[in-house]
Amino acid sequence: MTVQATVEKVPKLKMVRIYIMGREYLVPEGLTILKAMEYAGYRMIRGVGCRAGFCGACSTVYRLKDDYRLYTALACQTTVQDGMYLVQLPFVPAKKPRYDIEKLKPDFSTILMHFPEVTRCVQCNTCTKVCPQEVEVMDAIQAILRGDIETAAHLTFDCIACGICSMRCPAEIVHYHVFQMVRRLYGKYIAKKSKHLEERIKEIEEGKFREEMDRLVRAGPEEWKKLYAQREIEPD
Amino acid sequence: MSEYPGYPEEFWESIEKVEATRERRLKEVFKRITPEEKEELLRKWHPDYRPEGKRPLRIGPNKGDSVPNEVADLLESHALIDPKEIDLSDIDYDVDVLIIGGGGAAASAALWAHYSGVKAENILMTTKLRLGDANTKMAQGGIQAADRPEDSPIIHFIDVIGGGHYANKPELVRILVEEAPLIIKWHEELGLMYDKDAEGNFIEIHGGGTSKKRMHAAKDYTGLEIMRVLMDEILNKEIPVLEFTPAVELLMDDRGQVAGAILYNLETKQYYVVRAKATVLATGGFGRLHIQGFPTTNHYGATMDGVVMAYRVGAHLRDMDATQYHPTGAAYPEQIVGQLVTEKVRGLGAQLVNVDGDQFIYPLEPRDVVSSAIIRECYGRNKGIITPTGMRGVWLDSPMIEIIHGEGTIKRYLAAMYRQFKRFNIDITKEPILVFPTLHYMNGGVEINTHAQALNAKGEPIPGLFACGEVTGGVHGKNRLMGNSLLDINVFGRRAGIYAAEHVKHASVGKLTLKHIIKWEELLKKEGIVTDRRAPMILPDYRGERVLSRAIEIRF
Amino acid sequence: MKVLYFPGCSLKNYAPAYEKSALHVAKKLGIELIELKRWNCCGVVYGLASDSVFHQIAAVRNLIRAQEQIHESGNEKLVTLCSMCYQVLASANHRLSKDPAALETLNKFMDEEEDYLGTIEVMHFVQLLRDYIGFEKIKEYVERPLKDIRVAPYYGCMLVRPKEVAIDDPEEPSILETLIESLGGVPVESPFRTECCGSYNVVVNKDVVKTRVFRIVRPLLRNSADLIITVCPLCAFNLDYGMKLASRDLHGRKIPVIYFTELMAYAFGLDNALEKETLNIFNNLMK
Repeated sequence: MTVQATVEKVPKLKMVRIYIMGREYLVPEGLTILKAMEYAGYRMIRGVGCRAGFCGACSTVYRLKDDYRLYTALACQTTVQDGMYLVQLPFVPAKKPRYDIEKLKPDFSTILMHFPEVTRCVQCNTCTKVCPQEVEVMDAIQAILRGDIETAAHLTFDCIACGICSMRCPAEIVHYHVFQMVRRLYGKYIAKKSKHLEERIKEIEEGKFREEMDRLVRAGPEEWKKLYAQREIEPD
Repeated sequence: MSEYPGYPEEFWESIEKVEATRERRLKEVFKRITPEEKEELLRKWHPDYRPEGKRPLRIGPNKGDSVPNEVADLLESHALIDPKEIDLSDIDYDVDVLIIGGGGAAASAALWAHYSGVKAENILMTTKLRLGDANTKMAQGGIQAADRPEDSPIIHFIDVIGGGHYANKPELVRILVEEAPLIIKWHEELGLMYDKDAEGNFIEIHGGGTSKKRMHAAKDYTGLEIMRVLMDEILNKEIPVLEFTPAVELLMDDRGQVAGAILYNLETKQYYVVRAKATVLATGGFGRLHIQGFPTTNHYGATMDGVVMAYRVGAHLRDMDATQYHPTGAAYPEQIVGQLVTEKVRGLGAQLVNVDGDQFIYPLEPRDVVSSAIIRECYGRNKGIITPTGMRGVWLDSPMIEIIHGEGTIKRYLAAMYRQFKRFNIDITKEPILVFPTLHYMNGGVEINTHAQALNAKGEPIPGLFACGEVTGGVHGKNRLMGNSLLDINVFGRRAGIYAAEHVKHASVGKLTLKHIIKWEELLKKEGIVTDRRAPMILPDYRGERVLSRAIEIRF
Repeated sequence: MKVLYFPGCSLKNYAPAYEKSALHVAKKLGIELIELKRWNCCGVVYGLASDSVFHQIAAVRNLIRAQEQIHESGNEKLVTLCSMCYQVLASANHRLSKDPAALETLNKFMDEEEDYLGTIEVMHFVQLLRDYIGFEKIKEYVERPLKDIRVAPYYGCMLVRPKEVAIDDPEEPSILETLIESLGGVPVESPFRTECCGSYNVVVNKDVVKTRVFRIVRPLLRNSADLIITVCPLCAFNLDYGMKLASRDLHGRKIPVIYFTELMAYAFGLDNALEKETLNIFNNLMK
C-alpha cells in the first residue's frame, strides 16, 4: 500500500515559472512555495520549521506578474503561482527585552517601559495587511495603547511570531515581542486562577493518593486490564 | 447537486451523502470496540504489524529486537564524523549542563536546571534549527492533568497504562500523572493562556482513550502557547542557546561517563567541542523518517538524532517497534497532506465517516485503534475516498461541531484548523475534512528511570546522560494518549533539569574521548554490516530528483 | 437622539470619571452615545502635522469607521469628549475637504478600507449640547441647582483654535459660562481660560506646565472660584498637577478640577454617575 501522495504522480504535470531571489525555475503547478524551492534544489536550512503553518519560520515576501503590490505568505502553506517573484525573510533583527514576569504590573505603563516605540504607531495598518494569520495587529496595538491588556491578549492569540509585520512597520515596532508580554500579563494577572487545581495539588502533597498509587504501580498487567475494562467513561 | 469549490468534483457526491446522514448520526453513538476486536483490528491493519516493515537489529544494546526498517537503517550506520578530524583538546564550551534539543522538553529541562541552582551561563542549549522549532509547537489539542474533583491521578494512571497496552513502565506513569497538576500550576504562574471560563476553571474535554475530561487546551494552539511562553522564559533568564547547531555525536570521558557532545554549525560548517558534566537529550521524534512511506505531522528536524547518538554510548531502547500513526492527518489538498488535524475535532463531536456517509468506528478510541480502522476502511473495505494524487482518506465530519456546540465554535476553539483549510478554499464549518493516518509519534525511545537518567541494557544509569520527552521510551508504552506528550515533556523535562542540576554538584569530567565511535565502527565491521549510510540524519532531503541526480560537492 | 461616539485613548486610560459622567448625562438628556465598534488612537500630535498625508491616516481611519456606522445613528455626526481628539479629527476632516488630491492619496493608500467621502461632522460633546439640545432645555433637567457655586471655566486651546474648527470665539468664548449659568452656578471671570495648559510638556518639561498653570489659576483664586471645569483629560491632569508644582507660589492653595459633565451630573441629581470624592466636594460646597 503506497501511502505517499505527491503531485508528481499527476499525469502530464503542468509547470509554472517562479523566480527565487530573481533566478527563474520551472516547478510543477500545485506545489507549495517551500516544496517548489526544494524541487528547484534548495536544501533548506533557514526558512523552514514545522512545515505546517505554526512556527513562522518560512515568512516569504513576493510579487506577481504586472502587479506592484507586495504580498506576504508562509511558504509551507501557500501554492506557487506562475510569475511569482519571491524571497524569504527567515530572521528579524530584534532582541527581546529581558524581564521578570513576577515583578511586572499588568498595565500600559509596563508596556511603555519595555516598548516605548509602541507610541510611534501611526495607525497605517500595514501590519494587519501583511499578517499571514489574519491577526488584527493594529487593533491589538491600539488596545494596548489604551491599556486594554485583555482585548490585546485575545486579539493576538493566533500570532506565530513570523515577524513580517515588524519588518514592514514604519514605526519600527516589534509587534510579536510586545504581544508575548501582553499575553503573559493577561494569563498571569488578569485571568482568574483555578481553585480546583490548588485543591488537587494540596491533596497530592498530603498523600491522599499515595497508598492506592503504591498498590497500582505494583499491581501488574492482569489487574490493570481488569481496572481498564471497568472504567466509567464520563459522558461528553 | 451541491458544489464544494474547495474539493474536486469527484468528491461532491460523497460529501452530499455525508450531509444526508448527518442528522441521523447526531443521535448515533458507534459501539465501543471489545478487547478481542481490538486485537484483531490491530494485528491485521496496524502498520506496526506488517512484517515487511520491520527487521531485527544487528548491532548494539537492542540487538535482535524488531524495529522499523527506517529506524534500523539509522542505527546500523557509520558516524558522521571521523574522530581523527576532531581536536578534543581544544574545548569550545565548558558547561555544567548541555541540553540537546530546542523544544518543550529541552526548555523545561533548561529552566528547571536553572531554578535548581545552575547559573544560566553554565547551561547551554543547542538545536539544529531555531529555539522552539520542534514538534511541541505543532501540538494542538491539549495537555492532560487530573485536577477536577471528579477525576484523580489514579484514573489518569489507568487510562495511560491501558492505552499503552500495559507495556508502560509503571513508575514513570505514576510520575507523569502525579506531577501533572503541578505542571499546570507552573504554567498558570508563568502566564499561559489556557482556555478558562469566567470563574477561572479550566475548560476540559475528552481526548482519545480518556475516561474523564482532563484535556487542558489553549484553543487549538496548545503546543504553540506552551512553547512560546517557555521560550520567552529561556530568553528572560538569558540561558545561552546555539541555533542551527545540531549535535552530531556524544562525547565520553575516560571514566565511562557521557561528557558532552560534538556540535556542528550548519551554516559555517565549524564543529564545536562541548564538555559538560551532564548532557540532556531532548531531541524529539522520528517523523521525517517517513516510516513505511507515510507522510508525517512532525517538524522538519524530527530525525531521531538523540536515539542514534545515545545508542552508540550504550543506551537501551524500549518499544521502538511501536510507532504512533495519528488517525487524522490531512489527506487533501495535496499541499498539506500529512499535516495534523487535531484529535480535538473528534473531542468536540465530529465523527469519522466513509464514502457512503456511514460511521465505522467510535471516534475516540485510542489512536492505534482508530488509525487501523481508517486503514481497514480504505484498503480492506474500499470505502474510502480516492484523491487525484492517489491518496486515500475518509471524512471527518467537522460541521457536526457547529450543530452540537453552536455556530462559531470552530472559529473560536479550532482557529488553527479553520485557517489552515480556509487557505485552500475549504470551509470546515460547512464541509467535512478528508483524513488518513499520518506518522505522528515515536512511542518508544531511550529508556529512562524516574530521575530521567538514560539506562543501558542492564538497567543501570549511564553516568552523565539524561533524556526527556519524545526521545524517551517507557512512559507511554506501546501507544501514547492525546495530551500526554505535552505533559511528558514538561514532567520529565523538569525532572531531567532537576536531576542534572543535582548531578553536576558532585560530578567531574575526565579526559574527553571519541573512542566509543572507533569501537562503534569496529562493531559495525564485526557484525558484518556493510553500508555507506551515515547517521544521525540531521535533516531530511526533499530536493527534486533532477537536482539530486546532478548535484555534486565541489571544493572552492 | 443617537450619535456616534469616539472615546479616544486618554479617556480610557486616565479619565474614566469623565466618560462615566458624560454617558450618564447624555442618557438623561435622551442622547444615546454609540461607541464606534473599532477605533484607533486619533494620532494626537502627529495628526496635527499638516504637511504629511501619512499622519492623517489615523484620524481619517476613525472617520471611515464612523462612515461605516452611520446607519446606526441615522446621522453623520461623530462626537468626542476629549478636546485634543476633537482638534485632531476636526482638523484632519477640514484639511482634507479643502485638499481633494490629498484625500484621494489617502484613500488609495488605505486600500483595505472603503473610501472616505468627507461628509462626517466632528463635534465636541459640549458643542452638541449647545447646538442640538440647547441650554434652555438643559435647565429643565436640573434637579439640584448649584446654589451659586462659583465655577471657573477653563477652555484650554484645543476647542477654540484654529478658526476653521473652533466651536466658539477664540478670545471671548462663552459656551461654558452659559452652561454654568443654566445649571445654577456663577461663572467666575477666568482671564486666561483659553491659554494652553502646557499639554504634553508635562512629560518632558514640567516647568512649562508650572508657569502656565500658575498664570491660569492665580486670578481664579483671587476671584474666589470654588471649582474649575475643563473639557479635556490632559488639561484636567495638568491643572491639578500644575497646582501641585506651583504650590509654593500659590501659597499652598488649590481649587478642585472637575469635568463639565461631572458638574452637569451633579446638577441633574445623578449621584451614581460620580466618583465618591467628587460627590463629597460638591456636597461640601453646597452646604
